[in-house]
Amino acid sequence: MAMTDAKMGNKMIALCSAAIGAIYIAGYFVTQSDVAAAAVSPDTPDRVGSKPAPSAAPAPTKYRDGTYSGTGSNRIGSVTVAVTIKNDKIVDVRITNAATHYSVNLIHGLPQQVIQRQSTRVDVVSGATKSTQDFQSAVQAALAQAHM
Amino acid sequence: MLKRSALYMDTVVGITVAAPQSPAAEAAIHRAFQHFAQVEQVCSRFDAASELSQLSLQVGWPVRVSPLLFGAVQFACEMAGFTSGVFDPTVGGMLERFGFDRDYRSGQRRDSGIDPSLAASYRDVLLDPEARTILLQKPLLLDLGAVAKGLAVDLAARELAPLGGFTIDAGGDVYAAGLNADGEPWRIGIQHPLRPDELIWSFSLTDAAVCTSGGYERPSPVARGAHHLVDPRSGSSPTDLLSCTVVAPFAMLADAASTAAFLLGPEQGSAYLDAAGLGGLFIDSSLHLQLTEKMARNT
Repeated sequence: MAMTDAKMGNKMIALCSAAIGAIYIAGYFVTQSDVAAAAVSPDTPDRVGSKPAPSAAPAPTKYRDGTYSGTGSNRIGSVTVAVTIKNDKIVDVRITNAATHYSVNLIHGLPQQVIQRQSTRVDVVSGATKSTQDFQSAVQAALAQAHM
Repeated sequence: MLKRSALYMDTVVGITVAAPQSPAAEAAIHRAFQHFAQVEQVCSRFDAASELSQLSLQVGWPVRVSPLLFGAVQFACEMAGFTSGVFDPTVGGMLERFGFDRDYRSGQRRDSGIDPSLAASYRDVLLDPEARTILLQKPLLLDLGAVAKGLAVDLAARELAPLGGFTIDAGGDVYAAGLNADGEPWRIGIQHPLRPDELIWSFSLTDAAVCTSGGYERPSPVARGAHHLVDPRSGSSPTDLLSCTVVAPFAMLADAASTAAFLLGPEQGSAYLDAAGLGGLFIDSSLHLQLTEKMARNT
């Protein structure tokens, strides 16, 4: 089976390194305003072939440009976000205040000798990707202000 | 110590810098966040205007794409080859059918109109690195959910490198560089899969990424027992594991490898991680912890 190839790790590391290097070398980095501009006039991939790609009809504008603050409460407490709109598109959602945070201080269900090796103080927690549902009410509150 | 957070890719992205606040640190964090904005803008399948969505509309001829999209798709397809298609970036149509079809910011649903029963696979994605083109041989919907977040973390890490010690946490996909504010390696906790406020394991990490794949945060809104990790062979979500954690030099690799190992299951998955020289931690449905040799040695 291909996956037992011992060189797999090296190949994948080389690909990561090459991809990141290529993105930097290409100077592909754009500023926030470029992101908004691209959203209005999407940077459609160049076609090497000849068939035309379908294009979406422009939708009517919904939001005013600017940065809007919104606060919401949820199961982790109260959060405030700053939502930035440019050209009718959300380009940034910063969390400006979170009154509470996920409390993850307990090590559960491990044998005693393992617990002794473990520190309960951690800097970061790795887990399955958390969704943003705890922030939805705050984002909606900010968008209500941005609405035309 | 400086902490900033924002929402990207339907998750919370937190950046912590060990050094005290300074204009240079704030500027670097701002640029790091912009990488997330850009990767999301290019790779989202929930935005009809994204480069990925535009690519999906073009079947049967080579399309020249940005270095970012090419790098992400190439990496995903290589990973697919290494796992004989257990990991497959063409599962987008299947994920749409499972109800993962909503833009988290606008709440709007997006239907690509691509029929998942057409049985496309990564073998239908032809890449030309010289011309930097991608050719889709069949109508298919690419999903870079297991790759893009990691790539953004890696790009952000490169931006923050001059600051010394820092961590980037993209909703549980973590990169830790240098030392924390106490001058020690960063301590990483692994979330308990069944108790959201508890940890099940912890270890020290420096200059490496750690990613955890699990089904417990994103159940399918329409298919009972299913979540966002789908095995393209069976069209369903595996149930033997609660989560799989992988440590790797790059977040893109840790991200994709944890997804692949989760789908492979504990036995094949740990053989796969050993072959790739990566450390891993499997947690099965009875909360049994299984560490790969490399993980046991390093933690």
